[in-house]
Amino acid sequence: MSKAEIFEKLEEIFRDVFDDESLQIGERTTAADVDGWDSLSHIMLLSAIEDEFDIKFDMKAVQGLQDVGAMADLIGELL
Amino acid sequence: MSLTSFPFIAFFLVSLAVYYAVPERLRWCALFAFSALFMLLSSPLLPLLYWAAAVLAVNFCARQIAAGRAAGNGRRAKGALAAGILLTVGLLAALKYSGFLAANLNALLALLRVDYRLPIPAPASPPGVSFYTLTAVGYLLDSYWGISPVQPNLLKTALFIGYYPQLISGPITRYRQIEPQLFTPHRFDYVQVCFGLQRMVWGFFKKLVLSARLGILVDTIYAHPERYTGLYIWLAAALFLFQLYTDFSGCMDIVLGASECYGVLLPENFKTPFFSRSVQEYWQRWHITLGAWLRDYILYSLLRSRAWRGLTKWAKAHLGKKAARQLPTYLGTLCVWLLIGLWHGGGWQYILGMGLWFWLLITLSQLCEPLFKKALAFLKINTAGFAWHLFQSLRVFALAAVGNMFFRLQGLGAALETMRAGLHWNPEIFTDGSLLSLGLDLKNIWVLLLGLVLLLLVSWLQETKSIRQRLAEQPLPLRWAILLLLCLAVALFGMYGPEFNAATFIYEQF
Repeated sequence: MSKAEIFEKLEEIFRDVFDDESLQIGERTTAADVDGWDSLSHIMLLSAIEDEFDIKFDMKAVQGLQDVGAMADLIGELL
Repeated sequence: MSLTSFPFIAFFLVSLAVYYAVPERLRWCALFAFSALFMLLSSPLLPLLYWAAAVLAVNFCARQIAAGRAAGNGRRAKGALAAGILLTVGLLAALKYSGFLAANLNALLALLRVDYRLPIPAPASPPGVSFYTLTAVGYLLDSYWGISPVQPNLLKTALFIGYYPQLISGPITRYRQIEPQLFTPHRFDYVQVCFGLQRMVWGFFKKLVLSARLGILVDTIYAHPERYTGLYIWLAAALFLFQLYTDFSGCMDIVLGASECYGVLLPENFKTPFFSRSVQEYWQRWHITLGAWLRDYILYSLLRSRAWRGLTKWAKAHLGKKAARQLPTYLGTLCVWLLIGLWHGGGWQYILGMGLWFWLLITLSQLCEPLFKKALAFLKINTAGFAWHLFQSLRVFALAAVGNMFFRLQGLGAALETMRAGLHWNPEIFTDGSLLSLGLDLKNIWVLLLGLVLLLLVSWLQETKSIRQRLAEQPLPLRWAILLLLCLAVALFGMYGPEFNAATFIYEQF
């Protein structure tokens, strides 16, 4: 799966989890840029990503995620 | 050994002198020796064996987890994790909750008309069993997830699980944060030791001057429910919340201050909770390390579990997207809140009164948030202003005070009965001198009131900048004058006598 495809799918998941159909994400998007992205919704987000991509995040890897770009890279590695 | 007793102060000062007298690389050994001595002085021998069993189990299982991970053997790591959690939590359950379980089974037997009753066990627990068990479980999980280093040394594991300042009332620590502090050699740092001692004096002030006086008023009102009804009940509820805060946060000041003197900075457990705007925020500022522990290890594990994901999918298919977001989260937080209730004690008044009450408040406020926003916009209320913040903080205080009545009063029935007795309007008690019959004379009530004003003032200053940094920026004579005044206040107004029961911290039994 290409990075663009990963981003496309990720954006869909973000819109779903944060209930915002106009939400746009980029490489540098962080929790500070998305309304409602707190630690609890972060966990919901990770679960939704795991289900959608059929992958399993390692807790250690999850802790190092700084922005959506890093998230997409990690998904790419696990696919 | 009580934190506010002379033996504790003597113990602490001797330990501090020895700690800095031994070579730097042996300082953690001194901490271990004094922690072991503290336990021997605080507890009978048998409960200490339970603690030793927990240390052995944690050390062995963590090493097995590390070996399993290194060999790529997930089953071995998982088995060791399960064994470690089972042993430590099993010990906690047997020591703290077997009585509660037996009483409930007996009630069930009575309901089924079976003529047999189980004996109610009441085993003696080692000091801080609840705190060190959560610390140990967090360490095992972090080791399993690979986010914490594993400590192979048995004595170092024992110090991590049994570091005496945190055994008294927490905080609950994480190994990856505390390791560099506990085992890295610390040089004597005059400023740090002064900061630590100052914080201890502030803790003694909260505990001996404020909490002890508040306790007298609360005990008098709740001991005579037939005499003290109406507004007395709500006054006692408010005073008890202040008592709990001064008692527990005072204890934290003493513990964190003592630890700071050794150069070990423990995590904060309070962040001026009475300035919170919502009940949810209040719990992010009150007993912070417990909330964070439950969030990281229980809530997140639940939300990521197969069962919860299945529930999310089911809710999405049958109830819609919004419900799919809310239902699993609310069910997860319900489990966490019931555990918070259970943490406060084996009794239904804690589980329902503390746990369910706060869960309901937080969940309802989240569900009604869109409605509240519309109402605020319609009424044109300035939510950024001071008046609205004050109203929100007072509302949080009142709701927290009601919840804590279940913690203070013995039994669910007694708490509900007391609340019913509060439905009686008697405002004259505030003007006709009735308050002077509650065990404190006018002079002591003034000491208490001025002390509470000082506490709120310090908390307010703390909101924007560390109070100790503010103090450190003052000229030397003023700094010393403030410190000496505080010491004098503790010496003059501290309540030490056994009749005041100042020696017991509410949270020490955990």
